[in-house]
Amino acid sequence: MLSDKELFEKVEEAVRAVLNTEEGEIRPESMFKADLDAESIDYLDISYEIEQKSGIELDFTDAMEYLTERKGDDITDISVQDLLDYIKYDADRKKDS
Amino acid sequence: MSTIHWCHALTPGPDVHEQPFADEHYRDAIVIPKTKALPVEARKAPLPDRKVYRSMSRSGILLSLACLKGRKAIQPFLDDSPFSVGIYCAIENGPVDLPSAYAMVDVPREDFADCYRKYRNPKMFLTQVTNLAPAQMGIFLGIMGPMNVYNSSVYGSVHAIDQACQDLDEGRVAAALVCSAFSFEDPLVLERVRRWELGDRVLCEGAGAMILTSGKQGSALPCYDSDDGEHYYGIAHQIICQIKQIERENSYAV
Repeated sequence: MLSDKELFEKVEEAVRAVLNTEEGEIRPESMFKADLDAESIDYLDISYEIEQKSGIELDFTDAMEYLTERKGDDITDISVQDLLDYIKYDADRKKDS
Repeated sequence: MSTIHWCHALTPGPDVHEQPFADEHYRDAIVIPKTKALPVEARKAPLPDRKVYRSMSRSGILLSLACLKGRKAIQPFLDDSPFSVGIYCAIENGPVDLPSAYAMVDVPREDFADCYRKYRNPKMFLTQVTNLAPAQMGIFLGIMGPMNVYNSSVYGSVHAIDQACQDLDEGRVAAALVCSAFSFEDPLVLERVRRWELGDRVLCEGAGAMILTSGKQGSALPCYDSDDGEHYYGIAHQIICQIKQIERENSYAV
């Protein structure tokens, strides 16, 4: 199991590869659309890149359902921290089952 | 008769040394003895959208780099009407995703779907779409006129020039952005070029763009065989050779 720091580093590396951001530009509070200029197809690309780099399978549709439950139906953007929270939640869920 | 209003070619400079090309997947099966690549790193290419490199072939990136140099020259035509400028582009299909294809070799049939989902970059199909490269370049420049794309490997550039001249003659467009790019991304294309077209020439990556108008200002298009006999630029060859001849004569009016 990755530590929070290691998980952030893996996700940051994947997001940076897809969105071609500068080093240090991606922070946990960065919003994908508002701050990082991500589009819907980029989410698919990010999930691919995360899986390639860390072996973590990431289903963005499931992630959005999880985050909608937590944050409400009017959610239009998610942060990097939201994604990290979902990955941890999903890992725990898979471990339990 | 069309004339060249502006042109620019992106080709390896004298500081780029000849070297043999070999592909990591085909290894010794494909070796091109004399090549020159452009020292352009796709990820760092100065394009208006920094993440576009993920969904564009290398040729597409080179195409945009060459065409964006003409932004100032094309702007007056776009100010008149963005629909009056046409794109006439010669470019090959984007390459097959060799790393993912390699990863999927010998995968049992029942595991193939899972393997495909795992290894296939979701944006790879975008890099393979021929029309995407000039379309993206057109978006960068704000061109909304007709877009013509040719992927005939040997004569694509000739067809692009011919159609541009015809459309200018018949008043369908006020200006034509004729462009092409060639890269070393697809080893099978390189091998075909080596077998059929290259001869003793050095195979070079390159991109070229020229704005043609039907006006009297500017220089006339040189003939198609304006060729230095030393270099070959794949599908972009005729366009790049024309631009190089014009540059040698330094006779086009911007």
